[in-house]
Amino acid sequence: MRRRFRAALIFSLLTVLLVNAGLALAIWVKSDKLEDLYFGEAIYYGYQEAYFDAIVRLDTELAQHYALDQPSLDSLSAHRSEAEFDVGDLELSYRMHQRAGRAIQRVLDAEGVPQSVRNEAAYRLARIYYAKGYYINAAHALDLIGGEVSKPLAERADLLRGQVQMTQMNYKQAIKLLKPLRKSSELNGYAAFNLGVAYLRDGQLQKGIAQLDEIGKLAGNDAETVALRDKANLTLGNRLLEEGRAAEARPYLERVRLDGPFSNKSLLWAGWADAALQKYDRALVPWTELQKRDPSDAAVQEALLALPYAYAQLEGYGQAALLYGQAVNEFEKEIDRLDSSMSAILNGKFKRALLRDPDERTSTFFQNLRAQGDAPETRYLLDLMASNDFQESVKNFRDMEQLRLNTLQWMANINAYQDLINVRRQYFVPLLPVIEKNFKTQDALLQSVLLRRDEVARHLNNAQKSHNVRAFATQAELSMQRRMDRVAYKLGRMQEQPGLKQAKARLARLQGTLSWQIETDYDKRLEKAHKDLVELDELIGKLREQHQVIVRMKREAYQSYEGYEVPLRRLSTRLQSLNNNAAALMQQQAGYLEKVAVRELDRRRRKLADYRVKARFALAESYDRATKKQAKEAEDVIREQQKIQEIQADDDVSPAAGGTQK
Amino acid sequence: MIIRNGICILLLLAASTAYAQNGQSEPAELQGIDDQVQTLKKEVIEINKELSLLEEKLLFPSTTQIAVFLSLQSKRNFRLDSVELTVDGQQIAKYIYTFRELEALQKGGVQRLHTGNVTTGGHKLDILIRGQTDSGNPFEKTATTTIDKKVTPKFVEMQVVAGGGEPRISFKDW
Repeated sequence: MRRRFRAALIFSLLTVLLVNAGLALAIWVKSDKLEDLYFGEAIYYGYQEAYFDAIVRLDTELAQHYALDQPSLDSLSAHRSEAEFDVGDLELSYRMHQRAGRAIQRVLDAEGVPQSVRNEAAYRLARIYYAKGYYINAAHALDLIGGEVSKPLAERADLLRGQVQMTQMNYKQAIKLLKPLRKSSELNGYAAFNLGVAYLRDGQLQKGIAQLDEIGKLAGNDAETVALRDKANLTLGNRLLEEGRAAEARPYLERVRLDGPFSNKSLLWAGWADAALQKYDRALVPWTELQKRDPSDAAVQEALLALPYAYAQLEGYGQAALLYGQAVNEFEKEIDRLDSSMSAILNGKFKRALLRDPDERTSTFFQNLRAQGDAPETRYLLDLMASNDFQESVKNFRDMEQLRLNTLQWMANINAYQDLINVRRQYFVPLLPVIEKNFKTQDALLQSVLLRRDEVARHLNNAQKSHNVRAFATQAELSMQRRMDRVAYKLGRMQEQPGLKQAKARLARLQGTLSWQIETDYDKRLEKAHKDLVELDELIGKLREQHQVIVRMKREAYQSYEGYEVPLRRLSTRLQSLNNNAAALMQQQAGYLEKVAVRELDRRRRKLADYRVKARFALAESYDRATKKQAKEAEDVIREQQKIQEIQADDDVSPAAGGTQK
Repeated sequence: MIIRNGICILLLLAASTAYAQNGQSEPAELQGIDDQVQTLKKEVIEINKELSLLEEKLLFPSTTQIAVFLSLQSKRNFRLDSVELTVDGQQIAKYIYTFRELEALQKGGVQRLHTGNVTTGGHKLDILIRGQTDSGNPFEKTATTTIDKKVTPKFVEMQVVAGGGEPRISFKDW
């Protein structure tokens, strides 16, 4: 069962891949050197396919970048173009085609964008249009690619052009575009496959066969190659069967792997190819193998009827009747299963099952779901997922749940933030006036220090300019000078007396010594004064830094509780509204999914009911034929026995007659 | 009669295949829902953007904000199992990697391991990583650095480089 799940999953993926080859490949532009950590973080989520988280982060970064006065100085400026691209690409992966288209169109419309960037943007835009089914727009976007185009981009663009042409049924044009790409290693055989299909649709059967035959023999064992190989062989086998060339179809159908996602169809069609050639004994082989497989598969159900049909053709009416009986049983069991699945879906179990593990990627979610057992509500989910619309709807449904939970989480956070803000307000409101008062005192002190510093600097400058050596005299020297001036004054007023002359001479010597000392130390003192000023400036610098820290912290303390109330209330209201919208949309989407699922299961049920009628009818007919055959055989035996008896009787009579004659 | 039944089955199959291929989608209804889904996604992304900025302002003011990131350069076989981050002797982050996360790091993504608040000044950062080298040998590696927190937000990148053998850890101050 698990193998079938894997096969079905690959089948679903391949179906989408073949239609939209190249679309599922989100290739983010990546710089060799990372210049912005938050850009790297967004890409980290993108690589994990956590598209919502990646978009929110990248969008936030871009918004902050554009809000700056000088965005060119921001580290994101090195990645701006990439970020614009990536956000578009991520939105595309998150199935936001409208917004992704607009984001990429902005890059195209901007001036001064390098041609290589424009080309990549044009290609991505074309992909978006193609995915949405706007094929003409896709073609126009592809026309914007010009100048020097890198080989990988040129090839991807031509593949898309070819696909666009195929949607317009311009197969000749598609062939012209796809033919040069058939050997491209970049495109992994998708161009070659599309070329084969284009040939077939253009009626160039032989060329189409040759092309698909080549794909059907592709070397390689990776899942993608083998699935492509199987798909090509199956397409060829089917087409040849339709053309009535059953003998040629058989080898292609035989090439399809017996354990691959296409094996059921290939076995069924191989049987029909044999049947068309009247080789019913050979048809028994694939159909016998097929009828042992999962009876919920359409090909297996058909084989349940085809196998007894082949036996009947080989006049094995008894075996045919037995197998028709088994088919009726299987159809009844399957109808019961379909009934229980439809009932589970209508009871809401289906949508509840789809909401398990909301954070899990869709593919992993389905694996987990299957691993949990064969529940009626999810039994046919994978078959339903083969439809692109259904797949998209399931993804949308799960995305909505993720958004609903996201808005709920934010609403809870906002409540917590409001509490936090209240606590902060209670703490800071009485504290901030005291802080403010102290800050003002400190601020006044700082201002006074600054004034004094400027005064010192001016003084130093003037002294240096006027070579005022006294300006650099120490306090002791100045005091000494003043004392000597006072002594000189006193000595000047004294009457001539013995010793006065010597005293004056001594004072003059002392004054000379002092002046000499001040004069000779001028340079040294000037240098020291400058050094001291530098040190003072450093200290003031630190003071200013601390002052700035206090200013910022004071502001942040204020901002930690002020100015949030209105935005939080507004955001809370919006969140509530978005949460309601998500819930309503989920209802709508679930309604659609349930409707489609039930309708599909009902279609299957009706088909099976029809098969059951046919099987019962064929069963009766087979019994009839078997009985008739048996009766005929019995009649033949009796007739044979009668003949023998007659001959024996004749033999017995003849000697007697002879005897009589004697 | 049986041959006719077989042909009927074939026709039925062909009809059912065509039915399945054409699908039963109601394009208008589906398109309508899809448009609404896209609009809602856009609005939720917008509000998340606004809330993220507000949250950062509220919880991690620039004066105290510190964010620690982890990047990895390694070959495919290298496995980073876990990381432990300690600031000033206190463990603040411990992370165990899934395969998908490891792959995202190997492709060039950067993980924000921690956002928090520290005071201005010097702080000691210790990192411990565990995993398996390219050749499959288990390793345990530690590294230490000191950062100087200013009044502006502090961003530190821990770069794990594994080019064969045990990895090297370096720190980049942004």
